[in-house]
Amino acid sequence: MGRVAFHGVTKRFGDAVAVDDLTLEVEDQEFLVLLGPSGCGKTTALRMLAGLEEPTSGTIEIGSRVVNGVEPKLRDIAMVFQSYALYPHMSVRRNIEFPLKSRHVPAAERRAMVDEASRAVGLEELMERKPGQLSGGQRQRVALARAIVRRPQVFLMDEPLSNLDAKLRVQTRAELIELQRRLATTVVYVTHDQVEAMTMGDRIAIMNAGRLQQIAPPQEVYARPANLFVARFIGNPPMNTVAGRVVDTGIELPGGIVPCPPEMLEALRARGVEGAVIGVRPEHLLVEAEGIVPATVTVIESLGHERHVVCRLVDGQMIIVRQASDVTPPTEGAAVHLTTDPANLHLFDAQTEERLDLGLVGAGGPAAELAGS
Amino acid sequence: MDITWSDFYDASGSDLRHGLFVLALIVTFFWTARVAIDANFRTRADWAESKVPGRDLWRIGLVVGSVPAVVYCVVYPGISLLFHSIFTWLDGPVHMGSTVLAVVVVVWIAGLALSAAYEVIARKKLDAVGALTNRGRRAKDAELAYGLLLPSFVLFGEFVFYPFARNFRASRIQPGLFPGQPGKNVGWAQWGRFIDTAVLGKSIWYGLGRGLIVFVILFLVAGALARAINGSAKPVWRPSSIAVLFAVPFIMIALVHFFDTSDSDFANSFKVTILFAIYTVVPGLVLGLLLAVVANQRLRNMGFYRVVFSSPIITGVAASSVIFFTLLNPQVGLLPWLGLETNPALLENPSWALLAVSGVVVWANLGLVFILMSAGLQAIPDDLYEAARVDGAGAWRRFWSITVPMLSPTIFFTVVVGSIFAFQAFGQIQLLTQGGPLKKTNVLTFQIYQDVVQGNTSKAGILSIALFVIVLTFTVIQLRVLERRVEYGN
Repeated sequence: MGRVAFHGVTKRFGDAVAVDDLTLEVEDQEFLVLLGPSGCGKTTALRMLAGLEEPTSGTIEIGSRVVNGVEPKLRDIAMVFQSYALYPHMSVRRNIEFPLKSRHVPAAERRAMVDEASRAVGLEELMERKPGQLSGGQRQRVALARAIVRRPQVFLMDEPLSNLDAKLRVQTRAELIELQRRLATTVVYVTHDQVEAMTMGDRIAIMNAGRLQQIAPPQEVYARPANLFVARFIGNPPMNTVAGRVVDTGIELPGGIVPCPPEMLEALRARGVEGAVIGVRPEHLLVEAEGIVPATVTVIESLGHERHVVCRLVDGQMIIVRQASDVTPPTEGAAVHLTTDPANLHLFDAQTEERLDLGLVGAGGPAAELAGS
Repeated sequence: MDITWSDFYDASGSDLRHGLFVLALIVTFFWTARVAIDANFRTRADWAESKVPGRDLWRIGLVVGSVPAVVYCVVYPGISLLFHSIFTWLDGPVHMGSTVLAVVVVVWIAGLALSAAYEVIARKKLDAVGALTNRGRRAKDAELAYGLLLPSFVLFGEFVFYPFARNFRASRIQPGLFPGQPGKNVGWAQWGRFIDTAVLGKSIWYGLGRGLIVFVILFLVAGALARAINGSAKPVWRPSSIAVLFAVPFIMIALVHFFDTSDSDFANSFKVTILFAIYTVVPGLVLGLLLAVVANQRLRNMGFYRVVFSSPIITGVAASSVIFFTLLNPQVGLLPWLGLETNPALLENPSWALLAVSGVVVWANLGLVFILMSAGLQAIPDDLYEAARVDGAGAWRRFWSITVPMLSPTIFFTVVVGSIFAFQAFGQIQLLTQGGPLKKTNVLTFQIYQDVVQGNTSKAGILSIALFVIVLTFTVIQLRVLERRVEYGN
């Protein structure tokens, strides 16, 4: 079956570590998204899975078989490349047919399979064209058809939507998910676009600097980011994070002390945490005349359905507040206070940058809701 | 001179040359059919979308080609006889050459005129829909361009165009019998006489006649077929299609007949030159591609090998010839050192001389071929190979399905450039064999040189113009292919 697993996989290019001790499992028929900034090792991880790179150490499994050293063609995978990598001198039909021809599928069978694959992505009318005569979206569909024509166990997709314009991307996103449900195969999907990750993935694996940061369903990644990197990477505008000091009554931020329940402070002290980073999503902050942390409104950005209020704390740190458009906006330059429900606070250790799960704050997690999706 | 049926019906010949002739015919059929069909579709997309069973061009070429094959074997020996009578009636046997030359020139000019007319009409239509704008500015740009080109025009004019024109004059002068005796201007008659008697032999004209018949029949059939397939679409003529259409059948069939029947100096030199081109281009291409593929691997110290592989490019013709002249020497060279006895010496052996010279030229050209091929290989995106690996293609299939087709413009370019080099080769021949033994390495340029040395300037003039036409043909093909290369772009 289409299960995929990495066990302690490391890849080095000379001195540079591209993937560092990656361990993760992808279940059969799961849509897993590898998400991260460029250079984080997500594409290298995918290429190792495809067999285009060999891991320096660790094992990779597809199905129940260790595939280290196995040729790409024997791994029962198909890959969609960022550039699509269509063969420019072949017609669409011959492009889709190529994987079958390479595997010596008889002609009659081949024809039926090509027709089926091209129907699945809606290419019937374009079979005799060359890739150069197709639009970006059509080429993307040819690449998809070439991948699905063999019915492999696992699809690997390397930023397949990044060359499409914004409108087409939204449409293709939905079509890709439909296709995956219909074909019931495993997909490992690499992207740097968090919107794609949040909307498409059954689970998201977030990587940074070669290391896996968190692997969880999209809602959980949003509601309970495992560390500061994830917290700041997911969400648009990103989570506000302010470093503070644990004091007797709560956590001291520039300009005020956020009061904390005594049991929480006790828990923090018990762990020896002195510095903590407080994180709040922009939509969980309220701008009020009276409150805990003083701030100055500098800019108000209106997006139509919502509004971003950009504030500065007394020491100049920037905080973004997301307001619904029906709330009365503050005036620019006004002195205000920022407040929030303590349940919406995320706490991170200032030293390790790991999430502090005290079982007290943010435990239920605010109902996640992603900007712009 | 009595003319018999067998003079025309040479299909009974059973030697290699007859095979070549049939091959040339088949190629001609396919090519003409292709061009004719092409001309009857507006665009490639039209062609791709026409709902025809078996719409691959070669299948149609096969169908269309079989018709003239029958015609060739049955009908046109008779027609050739007719042609011969026409030519004889038009002109005496001596001047038949110039008559047919005139016919060919007229046909060519007609073709060019047609294409020029097409251009004018197309331009007007495009103008009418406003596709061409800023004509005034363009004219100004052209003025500037010609202004900038003027200095090079002057240089070329002095050293290329003027001597070229003089060549025509030289070719019309009958040289004096003794050195120092002034030549006599005998006009273009020299050309007719020369082509008829000294250079070609008569059969080429029958060949041209046959070519014309094949061409007309083929073109009509293919065009009709294409139109039938394509519904009522009107043919669209491209200038290049027309030019090729007129040229190819004539050249192919004329050449084969020429090989078939002529044994003059020119024919021999032409044969040697063609063989020389084949012997140098094909192995050079294979070797160069091989080295480029090897050097394109990401291995240690590849930079060093790249330098080594491309180093022949900086070795001059004279230097490389002298080096190999020494290496091939039967007393002091590399061969006796290897324990190989050569008697007669390789360069003096009629069966080996041309191959030996070709080997030297292959080595000398290898650097250029290697660089061209390497550049071509590096232009192929890596992800195509990766996609092919994931798609299950092994190294062999990747080479044939991706490397070769993606490299085909480069390969074609290399073939054309290599052929032109072969047609222009002189230094190697002069230094290695002086055209011998038994004229087995007497390429065209060397024949021309010898004619000049012997005072036969009119023959040399005519031969140089013939050489010019041959090289020009290759250059035109090269330009067409380079144009097509653009179609690959995504």
